Amino acid sequence: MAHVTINQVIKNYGAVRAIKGIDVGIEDGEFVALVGPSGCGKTTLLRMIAGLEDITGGTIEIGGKVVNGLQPKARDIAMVFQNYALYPHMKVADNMSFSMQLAGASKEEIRVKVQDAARILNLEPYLDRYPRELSGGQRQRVAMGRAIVRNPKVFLFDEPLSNLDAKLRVSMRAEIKSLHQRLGTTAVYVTHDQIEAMTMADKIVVMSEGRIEQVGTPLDLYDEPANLFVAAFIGSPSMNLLEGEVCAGGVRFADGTMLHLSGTEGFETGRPVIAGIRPDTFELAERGLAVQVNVTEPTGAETQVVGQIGDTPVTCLMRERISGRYGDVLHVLPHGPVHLFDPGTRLRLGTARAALVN
Amino acid sequence: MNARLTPWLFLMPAILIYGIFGAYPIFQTFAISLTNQVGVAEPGTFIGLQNYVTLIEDEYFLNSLKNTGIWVIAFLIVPNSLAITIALLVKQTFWGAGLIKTVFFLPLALSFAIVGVVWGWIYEPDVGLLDQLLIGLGLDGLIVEWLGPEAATYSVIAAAAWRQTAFATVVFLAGLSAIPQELIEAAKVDGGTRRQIFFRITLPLLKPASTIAVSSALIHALLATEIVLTMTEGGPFGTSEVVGYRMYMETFWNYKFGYGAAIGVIVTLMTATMVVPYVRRMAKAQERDWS
Amino acid sequence: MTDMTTQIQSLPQDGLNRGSLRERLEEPFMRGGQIGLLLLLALVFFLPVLGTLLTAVRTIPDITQNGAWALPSSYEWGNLSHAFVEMLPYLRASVIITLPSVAGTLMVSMMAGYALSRMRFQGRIWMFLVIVSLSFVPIHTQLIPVFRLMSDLGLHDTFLAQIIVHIMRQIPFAVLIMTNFFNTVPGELREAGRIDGASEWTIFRRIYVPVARPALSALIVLEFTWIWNDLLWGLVLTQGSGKKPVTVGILSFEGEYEIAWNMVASGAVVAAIPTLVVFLAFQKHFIRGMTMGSVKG
Repeated sequence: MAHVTINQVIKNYGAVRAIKGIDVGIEDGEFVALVGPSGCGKTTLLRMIAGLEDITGGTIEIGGKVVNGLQPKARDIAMVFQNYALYPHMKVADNMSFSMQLAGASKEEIRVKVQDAARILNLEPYLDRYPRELSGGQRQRVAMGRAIVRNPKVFLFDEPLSNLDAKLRVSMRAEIKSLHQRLGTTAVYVTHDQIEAMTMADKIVVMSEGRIEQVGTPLDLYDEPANLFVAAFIGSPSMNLLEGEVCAGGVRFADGTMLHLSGTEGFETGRPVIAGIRPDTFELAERGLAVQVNVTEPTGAETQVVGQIGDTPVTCLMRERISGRYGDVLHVLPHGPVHLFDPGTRLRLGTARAALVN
Repeated sequence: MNARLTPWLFLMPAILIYGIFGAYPIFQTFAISLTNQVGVAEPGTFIGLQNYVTLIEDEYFLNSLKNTGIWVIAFLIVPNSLAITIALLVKQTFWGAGLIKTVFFLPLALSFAIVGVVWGWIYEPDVGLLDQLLIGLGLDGLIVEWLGPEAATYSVIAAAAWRQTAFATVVFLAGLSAIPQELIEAAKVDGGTRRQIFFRITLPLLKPASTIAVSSALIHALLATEIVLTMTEGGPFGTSEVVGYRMYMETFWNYKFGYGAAIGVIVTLMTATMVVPYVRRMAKAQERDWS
Repeated sequence: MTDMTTQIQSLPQDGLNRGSLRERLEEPFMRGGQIGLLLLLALVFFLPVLGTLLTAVRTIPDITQNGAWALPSSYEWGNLSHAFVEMLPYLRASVIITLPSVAGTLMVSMMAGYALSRMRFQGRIWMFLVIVSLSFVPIHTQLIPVFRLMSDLGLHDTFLAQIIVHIMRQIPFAVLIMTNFFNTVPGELREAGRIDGASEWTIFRRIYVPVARPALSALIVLEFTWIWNDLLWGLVLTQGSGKKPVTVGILSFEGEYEIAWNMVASGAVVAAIPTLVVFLAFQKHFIRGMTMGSVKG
């Protein structure tokens, strides 16, 4: 077990800078998710920790030791690949113990470790099978077993659940999380799925275009997104972003409606802002923001209203069972925080709350 | 292991073996073709392009060149059109597909030496398989002296075409199988007739297969040494010689190494021009896959 | 999968694809005609083989009196065993030449193919294209210098010379096949191996070579056939009969028996049996290999 320190790390592919100077500290035993849209550099960063990519600049430390020049095998890490990368010609037991065989471990030692890992992962009946004889979820578990057997300082996961169907993904999510809690090994987990990151990680690193947008606990990111990118990326359905300007007692939107807010007093009147409102905070109101309905999507527990305020598309998640049709108008008010962002810098300015209208 | 060196270590055996016994000889052939070397005992003296000048006036060589031209034309047309017909018939009828395919593919397993010997017996005057077959069918009038001066070249081509058709059938069948069935069905739904579907969907999609079949036919027609050697030894009176066979004769029968090398160079240059389209296609595919 | 689609498609076809009256009338004729034509072509194609087999087991008087296509009046299996005994030294030489040549070709080309496919290095694509081009180099460009080189090295009329030359000639094609095959194997296997602590050689030896088994069987069948069937190198690089492969042997056999066509045919059958057996047993691999590389024939 060990902490991982990523210090000013840079990666160039020819003239293209894929990672633009990243700092992350990962505590011993922490489960950290690297999340972001495809092409943001999260997988590259993971592969640099693994030693599969050269590090152009900066340093990576594992357990206090700089590993830049070390081969993957010398870094004491284990990795679970997106397509599992199971050796197709080896049985499950051999897949799991290949690293130990190479290291020259004794047969007895190998047997014990493989049995242990198989028990933890419920793979005992399958040790004598080939990967092609297993289901997707079982292969996934073998890939994890291969990592566990090595008893590494750090687990690296590269989108390990993306090849599973939706239902299996949810149960494997819980399984990986409980496994981590039991083993207590530091884990770095790459995903493009923010729900995976939110549900599993102790700490999330949101990346975009080779940079870090924000680092924090899942709820930190949800409650106080540092910028518009994180605001839009974290949470599902994603946060509504409405352009407007500060006026006395609130914010006035482009279509002319005004939202009474407390907490905007500090800003000068006329200052342009973007107001971020989570879909689930809307509630029906007598008066308030006018939402033109495009479609309503009932899911049973709640109703998702897709429409627009002025020209801006919005999504509202209502607890009421609403049966609006195209062209209907709903009036809603946010009963939760309204996040204010600067349209220029795209950074967070502060949080306001809807005030009661008299 | 040094990461930069590793790939070259893996390539080393291939590079060494091909370099010493394959690539270096290619350059040597060019060099030898500029000498009057006879046999292996001692190197010849440099005579510039004299061998090539002599070749232009060498009647045997010119005759072999003419025959090679006939080979190329015949080989482009006969095996490929036969093969595409067979492939389409097999694909469309599904009839006894496994056994039928084996019959058509079988010649691929036979060496040119064996093809030559077998077809020698086929062409044997009077008692041979072909004459006997024609007599049996009442077609005695068609019988000619198959391996005589008039017909020998064409007879040898027919034997070689037998084998080449097998190869082209494999290629075209694979090409046909690679065409998604949905495309044909879509064309049917769009109201295409059988003829339209063949000419406007199937044939254009067979282009990769055609490139392969055509390149292969060209190369085999240009080289065509072994089968001529085994069936006619270029005869009678050199009438069925081809360029590749001349090279072999001049070198290993007449021991005119310099002269033979010059013919070898010409064969190589002819081949090179023929395979350019193929290599270019590979290059394009690789750049696409690897970038 | 093919079976599924054909089944599904054959069900509604009669209902859907009614077409015009003319087309409906044509259909059975078309199909009958196609099958007939196919059978005729197959028969013509098979006649040389059939005729040779027939000739091999007959006596010369039987052939001259009853014609080449008559059924044998008596089956002379002795022709074949006699031919086999005479061909034995050549068959032996062919085995001694072919097996090591195939093994050597496989080893060398697997290593090269692995490097070209899985490693990223300067000049990789260039190297690959050179190899593709080399697979077209005609034997004529190499015959003379190789003949001279082998004489200089004292390897003339040895098995070793033939083995080396066969490996050399097969390298371009085999490397092409192996490179293309390794391109289809996920690169993550190599990375998983690296993380598991394997050296590049171990990854190659213990992961990629075993995974390559399907490509290998195709390549083995093809290379065996081609090397076994070679004639020119066998002619050029040998002197005594002990080192001559069976392709050269059948020619001297033919010369020896002249117009004893039953013996010549028997010799051809005996000489063809090894490659025929391999071909019939592994036809699928053979065809797959051809379509993987698809340059030779």
